[in-house]
Amino acid sequence: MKINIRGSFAVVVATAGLFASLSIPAGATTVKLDPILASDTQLSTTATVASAGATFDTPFFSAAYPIYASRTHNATVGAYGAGGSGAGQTAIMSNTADFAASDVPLTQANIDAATTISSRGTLASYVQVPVALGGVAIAFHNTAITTNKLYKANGFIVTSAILAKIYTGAITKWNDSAICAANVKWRVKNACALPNATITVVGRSDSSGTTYIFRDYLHTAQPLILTAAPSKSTFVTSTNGFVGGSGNQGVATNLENTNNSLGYVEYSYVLLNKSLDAALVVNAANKAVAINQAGIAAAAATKPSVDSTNFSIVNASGATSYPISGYSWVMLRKDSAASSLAQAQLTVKLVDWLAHSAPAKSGLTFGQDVATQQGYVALPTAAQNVTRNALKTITYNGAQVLK
Amino acid sequence: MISSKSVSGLNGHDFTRGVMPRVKSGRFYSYVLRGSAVLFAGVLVLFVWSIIQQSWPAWSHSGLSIITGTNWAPADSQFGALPLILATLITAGVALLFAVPIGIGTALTLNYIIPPRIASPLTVLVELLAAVPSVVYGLWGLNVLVPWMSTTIQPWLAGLTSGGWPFSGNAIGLGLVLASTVLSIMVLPTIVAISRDVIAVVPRDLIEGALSLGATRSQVLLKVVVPSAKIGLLGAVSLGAGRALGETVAVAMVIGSSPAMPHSLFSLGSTLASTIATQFIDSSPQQLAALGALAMILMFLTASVNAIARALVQRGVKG
Repeated sequence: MKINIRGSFAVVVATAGLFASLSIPAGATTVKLDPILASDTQLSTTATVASAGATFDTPFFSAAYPIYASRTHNATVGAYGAGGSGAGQTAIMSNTADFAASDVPLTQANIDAATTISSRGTLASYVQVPVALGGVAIAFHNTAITTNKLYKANGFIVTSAILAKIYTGAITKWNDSAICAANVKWRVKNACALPNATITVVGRSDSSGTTYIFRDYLHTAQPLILTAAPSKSTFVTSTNGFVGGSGNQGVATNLENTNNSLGYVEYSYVLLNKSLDAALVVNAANKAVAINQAGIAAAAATKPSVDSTNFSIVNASGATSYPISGYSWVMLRKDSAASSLAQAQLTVKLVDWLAHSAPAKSGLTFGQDVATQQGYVALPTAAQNVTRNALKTITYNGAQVLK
Repeated sequence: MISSKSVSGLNGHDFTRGVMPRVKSGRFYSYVLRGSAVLFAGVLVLFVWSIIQQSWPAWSHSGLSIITGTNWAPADSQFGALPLILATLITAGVALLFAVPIGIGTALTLNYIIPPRIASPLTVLVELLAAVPSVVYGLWGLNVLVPWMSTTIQPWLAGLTSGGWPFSGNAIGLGLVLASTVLSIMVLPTIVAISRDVIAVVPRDLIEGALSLGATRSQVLLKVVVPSAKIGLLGAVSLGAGRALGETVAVAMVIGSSPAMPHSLFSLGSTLASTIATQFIDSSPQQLAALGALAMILMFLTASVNAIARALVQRGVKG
């Protein structure tokens, strides 16, 4: 089971973080922390923080919370309720969670639809900040390709047009002329060496933020082929014969078990499932790039001023950018509904800590360091500052909480 | 079982008398019993009512086209659940087609054919099958059966009909045939356990009478034991059917989770229960209502199976 690997890894990280957080280890250079991150290890009275939302953030938050709880006096960090983005949005609107995570920012339409929640407010009632960065891998299982000696040298390349046509049913074969044209190195004696097999297309059976990022990419790069505006809804329909998988792990398992299959999963699942191969994707600068942390970070760096209404970083420019990347968001109440000042402080400082990397050589472990260990990509400094500045606007009884 | 002796207690003292006034305690128990019966019925009524209420937006949006429509795309407000209903009925039906004869056969074998010292460990093994959690069956189906299905079983089945119906289409392991296989293994212990019990209480006089008339062993089993236990066996089958129709996790893992109209046993599918399980996370309120409608249809299906079984039992009693 792949999940166990991650679980034990989380324990190791948590233990390592526990030691790192108790004191700055001998040999580490003393680094001056910024006053907010330096002061948040003390809480005047006991407080508890509750959070819920997207499953995308589960490995990150589950590993990070114990570290934060152990470094912060008087703090109890409740386990993350991973019920999906929709459940998180409901929780923050009805004040049952202090903050919620969602792969796609909350919109006014989401709020309007929640007619049964009297405390839903308006979009201006919430502060939304990026907290994690990830990429979507095009994973495939085709032994005829991966055992061919051409694969090691050239990989398997897809373009946005190929992917859009596969997911709209226009391309059904691995040796389709468009795929052969994108993989010129696979021409042997003037013939395409890719296998003449049917592609088993795998999608998500559930509504998902991963699907949102993938659809956003296809729609942004190929608006004429995938005409539908980005949404979290599944590609698996009654007529196309695609295979559905529940969650990233469900898709990964279906891919592992089915030869000639192709699908999309979060980057960390390709890292965990060694038997899955990721295709190279041609980016906006017409370069075929492999999915890795540097490529995703490069895509994020092209948009330093990300915010909850202008957040898409798919099909980013730049020769090294990986084109199918996206942020995960945390939403909080702008006017804190916490029951005490300590609870409001704990909530805001925890999110601030989650969104920051520890200074180099400090020997400390902050949220983004945990995220990197868990297969996410650290937020660019610009995005960390976006989060900090947005969190500063949160008030408790009219007074600024984070200072 | 509590025998009448154990009620009498120590030194032959009867604890049912004398400790409490008999009439009062009778009344007390009758209130408790009636109360629990009313409570249980009340919970059921509230439960059904809340599902109707939850699914109401979907019914008022789509009406009966939820049952007759063939396009299930909740994100686009298309709630045609016919493919899901068909996949549910096909997988449960095929599963029972194999599980019923094998299950009743196993029960007969355990009771009459093999000696008890071999039968009792075998019984334990069969009952252990019932104790395996369904997610374990799902994982096993996914990791062990899928590769075997796609490389061995499905090509063989396709060969039987030379690629024609019902074994036509792309064989990738996942799909209706795999879900049916996993389901038939899952309902087997239920059918065996109940059949064994009802067969065991067939009066010995009947069996000995038949034997004395010169009936062979197979004639005794098929013409005397099975007919006289048929009401109980029907109960075993209907419980098995209930489990097969409602099984969720294991089916969701092996059926391919695609709401396509089934055109062969190699088709991918999605049953009512597996659709609810895989799609409820992150659903919009409207999607949740549609999933509530699926729950209603599923409840109706299982209740119908129960009602048909009851009707057959009634006829059996009269005839």
